[in-house]
Amino acid sequence: MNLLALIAVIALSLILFFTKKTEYKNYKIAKIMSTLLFLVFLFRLFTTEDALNNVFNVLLYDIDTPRNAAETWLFSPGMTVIIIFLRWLTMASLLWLVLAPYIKVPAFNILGQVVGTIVGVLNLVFFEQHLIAMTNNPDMLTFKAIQYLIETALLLFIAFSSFLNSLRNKEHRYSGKEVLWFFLVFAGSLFAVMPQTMMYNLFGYYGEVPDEFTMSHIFVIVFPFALIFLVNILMKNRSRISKEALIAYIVFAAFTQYFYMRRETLEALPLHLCNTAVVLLLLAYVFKIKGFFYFSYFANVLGALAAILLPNYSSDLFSYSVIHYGYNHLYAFITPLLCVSLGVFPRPTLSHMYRAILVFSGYFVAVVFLNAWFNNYANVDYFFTYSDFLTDMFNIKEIQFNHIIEFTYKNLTFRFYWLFQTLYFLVFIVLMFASWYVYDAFFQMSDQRQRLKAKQRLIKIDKLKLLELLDGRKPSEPMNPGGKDMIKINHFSKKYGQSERYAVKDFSLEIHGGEIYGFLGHNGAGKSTTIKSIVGIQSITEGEIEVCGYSIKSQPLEAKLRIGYVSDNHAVYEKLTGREYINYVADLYLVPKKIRDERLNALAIKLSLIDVIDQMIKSYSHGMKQKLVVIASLIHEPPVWILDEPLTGLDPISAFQIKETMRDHASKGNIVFFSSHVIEVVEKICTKIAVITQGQLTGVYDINVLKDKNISLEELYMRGINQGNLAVDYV
Amino acid sequence: MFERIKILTLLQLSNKTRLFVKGSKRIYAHIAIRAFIVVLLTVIVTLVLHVLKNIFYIPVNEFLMIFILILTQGLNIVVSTISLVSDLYQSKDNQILFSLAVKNDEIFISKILVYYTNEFVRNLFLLIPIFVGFGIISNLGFLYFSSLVFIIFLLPIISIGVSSFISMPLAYFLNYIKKHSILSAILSLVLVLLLFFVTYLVVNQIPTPIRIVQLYHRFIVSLTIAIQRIAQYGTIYTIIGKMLFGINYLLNLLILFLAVGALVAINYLVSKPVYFRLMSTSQENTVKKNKKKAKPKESKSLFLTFLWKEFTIARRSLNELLSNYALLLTLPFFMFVLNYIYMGMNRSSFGNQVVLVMNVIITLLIVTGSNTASATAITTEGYEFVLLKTAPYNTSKMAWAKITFNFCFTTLMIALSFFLFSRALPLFPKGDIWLLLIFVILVNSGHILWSFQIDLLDPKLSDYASTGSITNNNNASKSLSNGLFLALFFGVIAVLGFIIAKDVGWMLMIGLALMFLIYRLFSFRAHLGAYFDDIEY
Amino acid sequence: MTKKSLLVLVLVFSLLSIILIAVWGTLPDNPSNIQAETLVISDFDETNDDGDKFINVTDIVTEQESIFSIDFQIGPANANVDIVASTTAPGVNLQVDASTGSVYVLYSLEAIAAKQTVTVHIKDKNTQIYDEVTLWFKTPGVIIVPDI
Repeated sequence: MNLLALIAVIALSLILFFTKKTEYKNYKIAKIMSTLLFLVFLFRLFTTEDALNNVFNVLLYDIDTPRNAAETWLFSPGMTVIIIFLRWLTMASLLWLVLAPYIKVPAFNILGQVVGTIVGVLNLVFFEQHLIAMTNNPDMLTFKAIQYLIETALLLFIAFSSFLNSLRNKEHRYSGKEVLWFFLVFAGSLFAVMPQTMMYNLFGYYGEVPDEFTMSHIFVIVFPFALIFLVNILMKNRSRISKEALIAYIVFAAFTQYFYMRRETLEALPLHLCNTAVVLLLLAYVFKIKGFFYFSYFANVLGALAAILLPNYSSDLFSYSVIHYGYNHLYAFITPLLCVSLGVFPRPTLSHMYRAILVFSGYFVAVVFLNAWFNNYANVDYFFTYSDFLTDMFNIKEIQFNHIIEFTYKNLTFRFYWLFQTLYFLVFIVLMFASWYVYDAFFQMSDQRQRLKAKQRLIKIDKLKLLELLDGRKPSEPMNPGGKDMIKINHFSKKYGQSERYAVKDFSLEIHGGEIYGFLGHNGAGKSTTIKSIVGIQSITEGEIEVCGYSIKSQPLEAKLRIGYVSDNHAVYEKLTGREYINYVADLYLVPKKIRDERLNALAIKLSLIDVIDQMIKSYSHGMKQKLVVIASLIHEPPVWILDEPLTGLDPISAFQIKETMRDHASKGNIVFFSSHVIEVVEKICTKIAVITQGQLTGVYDINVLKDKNISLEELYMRGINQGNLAVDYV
Repeated sequence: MFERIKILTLLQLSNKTRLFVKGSKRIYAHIAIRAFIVVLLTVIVTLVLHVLKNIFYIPVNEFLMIFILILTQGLNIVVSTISLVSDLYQSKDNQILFSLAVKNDEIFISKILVYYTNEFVRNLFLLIPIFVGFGIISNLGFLYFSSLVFIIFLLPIISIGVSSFISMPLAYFLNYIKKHSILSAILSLVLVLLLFFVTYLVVNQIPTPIRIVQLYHRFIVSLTIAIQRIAQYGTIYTIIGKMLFGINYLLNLLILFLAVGALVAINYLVSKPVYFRLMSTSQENTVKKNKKKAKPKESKSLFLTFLWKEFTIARRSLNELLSNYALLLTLPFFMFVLNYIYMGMNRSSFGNQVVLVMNVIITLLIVTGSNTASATAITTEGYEFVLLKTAPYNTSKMAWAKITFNFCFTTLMIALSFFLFSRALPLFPKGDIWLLLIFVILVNSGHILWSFQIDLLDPKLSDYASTGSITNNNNASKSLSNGLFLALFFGVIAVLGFIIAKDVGWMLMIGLALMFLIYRLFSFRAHLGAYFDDIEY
Repeated sequence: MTKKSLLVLVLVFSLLSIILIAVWGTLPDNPSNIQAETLVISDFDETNDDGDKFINVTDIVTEQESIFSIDFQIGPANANVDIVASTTAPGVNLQVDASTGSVYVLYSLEAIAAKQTVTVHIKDKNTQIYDEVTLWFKTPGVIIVPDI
């Protein structure tokens, strides 16, 4: 009969293949068929007492075993192994085939078709053995047998027909990488749905009880964390649909694995927190119910973690109950976390958590009530709210048993351990809040990591761009060899932070060697902003600034080596002496010892600072600090010297000394560029002047030309400001 | 003269309190609230005294009254001395007051009067509840309550009189110290060592094995005896106490008035020639000339340059260094005192495990609390950070220099604490001490990196440049919170490691600490590379 | 979070840790089941006809030294006792230090001024064994009259 069915199914598939052509309908039919398959499977899962589950230790039989188990065997060891592996593969194929029409990832499709077909054929071939494994009855004409035949035939039909269908479509060939990926999915899927009695069937009692932090328990604890980590790494760069597929598979696997164990008593209702979780997660995923999902996210993960740390089983690692417990809590723990980390469900907000607490409260009340009710019929202890499991563990039994409310209603006694239950509830709520903070910390950490990664990518791109621009030259060579002794500002714009307003907009200027260039502007015009961008203190929003041919943006170090900068504020360490400070700066600019001493002495004498150079800077006056900064900025004899408001607040002698130094420096062919809002000063020592008004360059003048034409700078300046946007006048 | 003093006093008072607008309803509400607080405090004090008398059997009599007077007024004198030093000599309003056409001693008197007024108001909340409470509990009569009226006025005079007298040599001493910063650092260190020694002596007095209940009984007995003994030496406060309880009333009253009068007179006479001189030297910033011209050498690498700079600046601001690491200085105290008590108790093996867990938590709390210097490392560069921005080299080495400095410093301090600890308490298992040391150093190093990273991502350069202070610095408090988190986290791990999975205890702790450090190291390196160049002033 | 709050936290943790270890981490004290057989105040000046013990505290208890300590002995020494001391005299307080076997009599200044006579009653609550002593400021020439 099984062979008959096999031939029938194959024939039907072939007929379908040759008659049906439209693909769209096929998908609809595929969905219906796969749902049907799942329902048939569920029916069997819920109604069948499995005979194979009692088979014990077929492989290690000859080794010294504690129990003679041969009488439990249904077949020879070889056949048992074949049947177990067939069942295993069947389970995996079934889920692939059920999910494939809904979530279109190639892995499910291909694996479902190929493995499903092979397994389907083999299942029909070994149909009798399967029947024995299930019911211990080879009779083909029982209800169970027919039911199982339908299921097997349906699976083969779906697998084979979609296989034929894909042949017609001539889908593209898969690369080696993709094939490798299929193998990974294959292995992962198999792990997810491993028959829970398999270890016990094959090896009998083995390993120790994994609790109280023995090595095997530590393995059990570490495994879920490692798994989450591994899955995240593997799935990080996969498409969204693959992530969906992974979660879907896990959710279904969790569900089928939970119900793998036949349970018919009241006690076995899935009302324990983590048992509820597998059902809720399936519902939450299939119907996108956020309340259920975040309930499991905040409550189950905690519960599962507690269960993994403090398990309540007492049998060995390979026993049915431990593996069942392990799978159940593994899924309850990792599924919600993976859902969020892979982005299948969004990160929870605080309101999600409040809703989760609400759902939890409802659940808790229900469980407490059901415990009180069902204990009239059986020993029920959902979520440990009724037994002394927890109070015994924490040695607080008095709290539970000294505070009881009890009442009877129609022969039914309802008992509530009100104090213990309330405390339990409150502790769990507190833990949920605590978990919120843990989650939040993780989110922040991962966000920061993302930002870091993005930033590192940008830096890499900038580097590549620079190399491209340099066009084969060394990075130490100027990008623009033509601009060797000049500052070139090209359409420079600057915005601060998130501000919409430009502090400086579309500013272009060229400054050549030997010039003392004055930079005039009212307070807040953008002088300091421009200067800080030239010296590389601030970033450039748009445009380009070159110093001696080096771009300050992409070759900042080379450019800075050629700049001396006097800030508008004194950037000095008050606790150092003048000499130490200069030495520190000289170290920064790699000026050799001998040269730096010569320069320091010369400049200190020139600026009459030599007497105080060995005193602590704390004791310096404003002018002395300013002069010290001037010395520091010239210690490496920069071809470009930039000063921001250098003469503010100085006495006439100091001001004169600094002005003299500026003239000296320019006379050596260097650039001196300084800002000021005092027109007289600028007029006196500058050769050229740039005027900036409200962030825009409003005029560039040659002092000598102005003198020749007898135009007062003051007048010009006032006019420029009043008109706001005077055309740039390159005199 | 009195007119001028009055004007000066009112001027300063109105500057300090804004509630001098007469007739406004707010002032009545204000007074009503204060009165209510006084009544409430009185009730509380009465209850406390009742408890002392009837539950602890500590006699509530004139001795206790004298003892409490000595305690509160003694504290008052200490606090007043400190605030008077800054009020009289270092206050900024001196520059205004001394430019006015008044005599120096008038300023002195007006300042004392201002302080007295404030002190008097503050004292009301303390003295009235205590005195009234005593009166009620001891059933004292009319003479007692009527004496209170002037005692309440006299007590602040006494404490301020003593404080202002002490404040003069103290101000001189502080001025001297200010000029010799090394001396102040040495003094602080000596003080710390002295404190350590005293703690050692005191703790050694506790009899072992410690039984908390017995200890508690002994404590109450010795407290009672101490109260009675100390009360003998309260000088003027003994006289006040006896007087209030009606013992030799008139004689004691006379002595009291004479003493107060003498105190005021001495203060006035001494302050007259001294005050201005002390005040003006307190305001000066003298600069010590460097005699020898130290020629700094050229450093071999940028890293050394930065390290040298950190070291030099730290050496010259020892006080800041000490205040930064003050918490770390308390580490040996806490370790010693706590472990002495732990060791003194007759522990079970569970107790021994808890001792380790508590040591982990408390040492980590203290140690990580001292890494605020790292959490403000970039911030405290302030405007000087510009220098690094304009320097033509990869100045992120500066971060490593700072970390090296902080690491060396804290590690040294921690190691020293542990060494002292192992010496002072030989009973504690040596192996555990060294393992704990390794563990703490690992976690602390990780925490330094973490704190630095916080500052790296969000330095408050301009805040620091404008205020020059790191109080209310967000990064510092983040670093402290992280430290708290680490202490609690490793506390939980310690519970796991020492109580549940005993075999792997230290392996787990040190392994995790190492992992933490390595993670922080890589994370810090990556962040430094990515974000240092982005820091803008 | 500031350093001050951290310091407070450290203090709180320290206190908690001591309580934690004292309550759960210590071995049970070895409570001896030996009952006291005698409780005697052996150090006294004289007795009256009824055998009541008297101590003269003149010049011992003064305004400067207001504390007097009475020593008592328990036999056997390792007996499990719970000592209480009581007196009816006004203006006097008692404190028991069982570990050193002394009772401190704390006079108030009024009591000293009034030359208060104090009878101290020391009792072991477990066995109800007791002893008594009377402290008085003996004026020369006074004869002890037994209580009637």
